[in-house]
Amino acid sequence: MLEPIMYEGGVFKHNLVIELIEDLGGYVLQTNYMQTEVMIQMLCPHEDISMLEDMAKELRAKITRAPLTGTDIIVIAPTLAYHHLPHHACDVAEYMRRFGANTTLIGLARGVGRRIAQISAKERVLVNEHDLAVFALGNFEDCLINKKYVLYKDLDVPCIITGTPELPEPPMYAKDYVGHLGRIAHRLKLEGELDALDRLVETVGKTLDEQRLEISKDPLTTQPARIMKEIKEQIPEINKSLSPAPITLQLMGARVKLSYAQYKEVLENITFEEGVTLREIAKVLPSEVRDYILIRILPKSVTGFVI
Amino acid sequence: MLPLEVFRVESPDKTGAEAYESVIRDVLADLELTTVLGRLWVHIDPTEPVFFFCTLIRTGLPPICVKDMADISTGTQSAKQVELKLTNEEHVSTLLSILWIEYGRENVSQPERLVITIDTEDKDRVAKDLADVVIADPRREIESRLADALLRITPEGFRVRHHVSTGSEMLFVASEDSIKHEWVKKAEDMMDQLKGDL
Repeated sequence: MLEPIMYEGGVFKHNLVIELIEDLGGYVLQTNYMQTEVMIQMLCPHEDISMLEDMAKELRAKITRAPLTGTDIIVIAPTLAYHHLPHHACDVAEYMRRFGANTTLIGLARGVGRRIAQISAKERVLVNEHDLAVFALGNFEDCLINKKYVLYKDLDVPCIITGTPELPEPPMYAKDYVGHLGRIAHRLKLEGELDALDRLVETVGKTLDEQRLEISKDPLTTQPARIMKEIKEQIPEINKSLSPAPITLQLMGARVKLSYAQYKEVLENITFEEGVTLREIAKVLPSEVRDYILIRILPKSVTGFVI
Repeated sequence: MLPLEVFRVESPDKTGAEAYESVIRDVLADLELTTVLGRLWVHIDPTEPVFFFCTLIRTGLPPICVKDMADISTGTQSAKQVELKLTNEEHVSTLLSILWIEYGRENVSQPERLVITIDTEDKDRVAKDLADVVIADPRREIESRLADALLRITPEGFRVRHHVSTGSEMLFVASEDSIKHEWVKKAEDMMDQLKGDL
């Protein structure tokens, strides 16, 4: 099993870490350089973590388990008005990035109010493309319990709700609930607010672990990280993308930031060492995000093999 | 009346009211309105749903005229110009644009940082008229900031609004349904109580 790990250290000799991970059969997902510092998100085989720890110690670097690495989370505010942004919806999205998640922030077109709150079909499809949705809602218990569920009741992905009151159990249709994160008009920096953000990350991590366990019962034909590696090797155009994460990994696939019309065929023809093509083990679909491509890997029960 | 000597945020939902108080404090601080409002009473009932906002505005600063920011003189008898010696530079750009419109750009010059001269044939009349020209009115600015604050504080979905605004008080009712007469009546009662403590 591959463990999601975050490496933070100096740029000096960091390529040794990348080589080690590749030798061990792990994957480097993202490398961010910040002047003389480097942050590497990677997947490392569970049994070889001690080797990575030894090397990190030698290079005076820090490695931590980042449970949100390789996941695609969407944070949803009722609208894009200043009632919800930049605090607290952006703060929530930013905080989860520190734990390795790729977060997207959207505001619904008509998510505000009680009786009038609604989510459109297009927004629902967009949300369902992600691994998990976090709804940044407001202050009043009555709204959270009796009204706002219309926004997430028809979604397929697990939804985690944030709001001000502490509720004994999550509202209807929600996977979980985190309190003390309601409408806040200042940057989240007070002790109670940071605690609430930590609880949110913990809740999101727990929900994603449950999903990983569920997927492992009928494993995917290949790891999403392997598809990412093959795309990088076989489609050089991906390296020209200006996006910080040209390939966004998800639990069951990836979003590739290339034009669907132009690159669908090319992607489907990617060939693996074992002789199979991507077309045989995954669905290549148009994404709702611009004209990007969404890859959904088929499980073993459909293809009959694992590579 | 002291700044925010009454600050009341009420709701049947106690936790919600506390969170809302924090939101209101942040918005008022962001828009520099904390010293402008004297008394504030907000009541929110999410089940109705209705939002009341009643406030008394402290009598603010008077409008700033040219005589408040500059000494006006007509110089020597032979000179055909009015001279303004600035004592406060805060609104100079507004003053210049008003002078340009009124007397023409070619007649207004600024030989030094704190001196503005206006070329004119009738310097006594110009000096007299100029003294009371309003350059900035802080009260108008406060009104627009207060309107902005209200829109930020009110729950976003509450788009049906009723408001009564005079120079010294503001009453505001918002809901996502039609505004009921009893709500307006209640807001007026709240306003009377707020004024009654004076």
